[in-house]
Amino acid sequence: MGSDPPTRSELLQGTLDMLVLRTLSAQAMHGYGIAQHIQRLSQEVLRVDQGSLYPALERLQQKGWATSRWGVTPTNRKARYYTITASGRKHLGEKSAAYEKVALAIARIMAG
Amino acid sequence: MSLIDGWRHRLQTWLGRSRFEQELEEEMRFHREMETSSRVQGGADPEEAGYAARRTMGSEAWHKDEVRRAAGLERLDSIRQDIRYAIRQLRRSPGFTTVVVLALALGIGVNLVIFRLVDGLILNPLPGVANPERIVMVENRVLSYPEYQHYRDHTAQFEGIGAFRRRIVLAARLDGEPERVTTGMVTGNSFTLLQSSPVLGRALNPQDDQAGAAPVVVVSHAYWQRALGGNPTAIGRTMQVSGQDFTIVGVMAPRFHGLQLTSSSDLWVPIVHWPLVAPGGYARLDMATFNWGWLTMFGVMRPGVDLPDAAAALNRVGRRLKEANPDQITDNYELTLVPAAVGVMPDGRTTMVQFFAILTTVVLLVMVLAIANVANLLLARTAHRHQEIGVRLAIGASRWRLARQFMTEALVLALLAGTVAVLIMLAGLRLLRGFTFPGGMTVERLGAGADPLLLSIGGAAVLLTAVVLGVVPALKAVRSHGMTSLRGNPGRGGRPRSNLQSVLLATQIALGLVLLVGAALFTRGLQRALTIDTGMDTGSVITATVDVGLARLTPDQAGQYFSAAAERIQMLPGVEAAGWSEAIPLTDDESVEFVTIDGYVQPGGDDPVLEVIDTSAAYFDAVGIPLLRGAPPDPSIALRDRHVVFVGAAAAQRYWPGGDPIGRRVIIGGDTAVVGGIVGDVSYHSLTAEAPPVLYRAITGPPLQNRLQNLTLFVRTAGPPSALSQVIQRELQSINPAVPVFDIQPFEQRLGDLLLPQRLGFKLLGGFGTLALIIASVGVYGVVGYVVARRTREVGIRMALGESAASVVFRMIRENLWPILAGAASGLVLAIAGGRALAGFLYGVSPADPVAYLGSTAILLLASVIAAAIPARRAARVSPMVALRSE
Repeated sequence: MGSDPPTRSELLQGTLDMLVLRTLSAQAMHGYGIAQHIQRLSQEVLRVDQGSLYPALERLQQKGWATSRWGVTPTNRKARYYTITASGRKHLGEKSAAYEKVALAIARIMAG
Repeated sequence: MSLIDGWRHRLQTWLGRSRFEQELEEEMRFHREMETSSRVQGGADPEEAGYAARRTMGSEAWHKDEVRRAAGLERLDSIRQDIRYAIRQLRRSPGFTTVVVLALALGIGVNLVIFRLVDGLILNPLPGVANPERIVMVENRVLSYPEYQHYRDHTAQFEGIGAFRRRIVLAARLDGEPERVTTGMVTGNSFTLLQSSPVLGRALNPQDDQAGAAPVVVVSHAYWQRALGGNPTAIGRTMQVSGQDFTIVGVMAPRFHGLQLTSSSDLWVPIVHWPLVAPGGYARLDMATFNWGWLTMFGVMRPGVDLPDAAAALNRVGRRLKEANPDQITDNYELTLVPAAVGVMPDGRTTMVQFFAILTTVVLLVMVLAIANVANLLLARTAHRHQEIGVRLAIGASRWRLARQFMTEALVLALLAGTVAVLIMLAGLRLLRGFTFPGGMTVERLGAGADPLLLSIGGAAVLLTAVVLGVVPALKAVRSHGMTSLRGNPGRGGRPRSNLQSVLLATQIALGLVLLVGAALFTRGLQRALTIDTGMDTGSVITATVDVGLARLTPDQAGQYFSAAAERIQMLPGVEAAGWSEAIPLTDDESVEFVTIDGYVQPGGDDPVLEVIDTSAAYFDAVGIPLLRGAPPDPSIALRDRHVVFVGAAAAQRYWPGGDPIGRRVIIGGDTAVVGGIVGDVSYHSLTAEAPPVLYRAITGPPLQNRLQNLTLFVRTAGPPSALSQVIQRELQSINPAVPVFDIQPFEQRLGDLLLPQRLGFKLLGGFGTLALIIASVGVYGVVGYVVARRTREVGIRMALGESAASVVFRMIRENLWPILAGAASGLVLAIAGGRALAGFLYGVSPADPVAYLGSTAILLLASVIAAAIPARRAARVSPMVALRSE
């Protein structure tokens, strides 16, 4: 969409945003839960550290793709829960479609 | 939708900072606890688990910072930091800050005041009128009432045509004493045509202007406030105008003042009632005669009609009218139309435009001077901070950040200055509130508040100033070299002062000189004007004006009144002479008549037109006009023998060249008289113009028959004139209480009013001149001080090697001299060019008056040398050891 190719950190940022939104699209979660979810589902391949996660969550809120609310965990602790918004879902759809296209292209090249 | 949510979140974060921090902390803590408890559940020791969790998580502080950065708080914080730093820097040098803020605030504030005046009088002269661009006025001719009616009814190109008489001063009374009000006679459709709405009650309408309509008036907002107390019950009240009852039906909007530029009315009365209120006996004729013009006509053009079309249409109608009434309309005329905003009072307006053009230029000059000065000071100060800049660059600050810091400082200064400027503007407008311009317009009527337009202009000025002041130091900071800055003495022995600073300094000197010269010229002009020989001896004369029209005296009664007054007042203790005149010298009162002079034939055949002034016997003595030849007026006839007239020296010269006017016959207004004497000339209209030829006629006779209205009594007192004001008032009122007495004031005071533009100019320019001198001196002081400070080491070396302090000082001054001299030279050139523009306002003083120029230059140069000498001396006094060590 832009004229310059995205930088490496921007790529990673974009990917992280996508993963977080995908996680939230299933259900609302707190930050720790999101990190655990990604870690588990990727079978420990992807580890999200706090330095990336929480800024990403802040950015998602600034763009209006997620909202947050304080709630209570099953273990009676106060935690901040994030929910995806309608525009967040829309963005997720676009991002994952783009991502699939790229992944498919890479797979084809690798297959020779 | 997402955008709104996003911004809502952003705002919440920025505004609720402490809550943000609190929640961030809680979230981090939660994460940490979860990490710990998951390890504990995996069987670890709780304390170990805690440490392990912390280790995995890494630096919480750093994570928090990342979140803050994502939230955009980092930038907010750095801006806040910049502002706080800027404020701290400014507080550290309070003298500098005060000078800068004051200089800027004065420059901006004064400009705002002048802009408000210019806007009200020139740029937007028709407030309260909804469609000014479609309103046109007849410029070259006043029309008669029947003509107006015809044009009104027959010119289809106009939505409507109205007319008004030039404002007239009438006597009006509410409950108490009568007072003079300026009254506009207008046609009933005027307000509808102008689409001006009243703030209270209703405006006049065409029904009010029909024969037999009930007499109603509409008052101006200012009058309503002043005389009716701003009370809503004013509607429906009765007031007397020229003794007739009128009902007040409406109050107009504050800034509305009709179509007459530069002057304003207190009341507006429908034209149909002119015979009721008019002084003199001609009013009934006014309404019915074709040949007597007294109305200024205006109209609203239909959409799609332009000015030439409208003018052509009017003139077609005019021609047809003339063909239909050949006996009644005797001259062929073509009407010229002008847009209403330009106005039909070219003289008054041109003078005022000139006046304001000069004023605006002066004020803008002061502002540029102030900004140049401040810029120079800021530059000097930036140079002082070389070390600070070097350190900051060395520890990694980006140049952009540094530049931003300087711009923030400039912005804070500018904002402070802007706030003070608004205060200055409000104070200035309040000070000027009572001021009346030539023509009767007051500042009050212009509206002296701070409206949105003015404030936004002020805001723009502030921003502009901030940018101008901030950019240069910022650029310098960005371009400076790190290492040499740390050493603190870049370009040692090199150029002592940047080119920019020299130019700024020269500019300041030049502008300062221009302003000083202007002030000097005005001072000299005023001096001259005050001492000019008016032909009268005005020191101990007090005047009082009466209006017999209001009392509706018959000519005989009026004559008795004037006689009795002259005799009785003459006999009061402390009075040397008391005489009546219908014209006040040096005002706009003008009364000319055709005079048939025996033995003189004017080229062209018409009788010459002289200024004819009706006076009583003791007038010449009262006012101090010397009798040059002939016999003085017979004192036993208080109002003078109508068969004897007196002429001024200029008239004698012109109409009886080489001969003797005494004993010769003249015929005025059907009356034959003989010249009884020659009196000295008097400047009747202006101090600079030549005295016009004047003829002094007796009050008895034609003047009284023609219902003379206002006469002014001139009383020469033995002591100070104001001491007798009460006595005179009582005496006049005791003769006939129905005759109102106005304007009892010393004659010199009235003269003072005439010189108002000069006095105002003198005060303003004098003030600005002084201000300019101070600003320029401070500028010189600042720059030289900076230069000297940078070369302290060099000074130390020189003195250690034996140079005397005096020599050091002189050299410093000499080196700084060239921008000062260059500035002075260009200033002189500018001043000479500008002086020509002032020529009209200077009495008898040439715009190239050498005293003014030499004096100003001398003062400015002296001030500059002193300003330069002070820091130079201070540097020379420092012990060489200290100087050598300083950096």
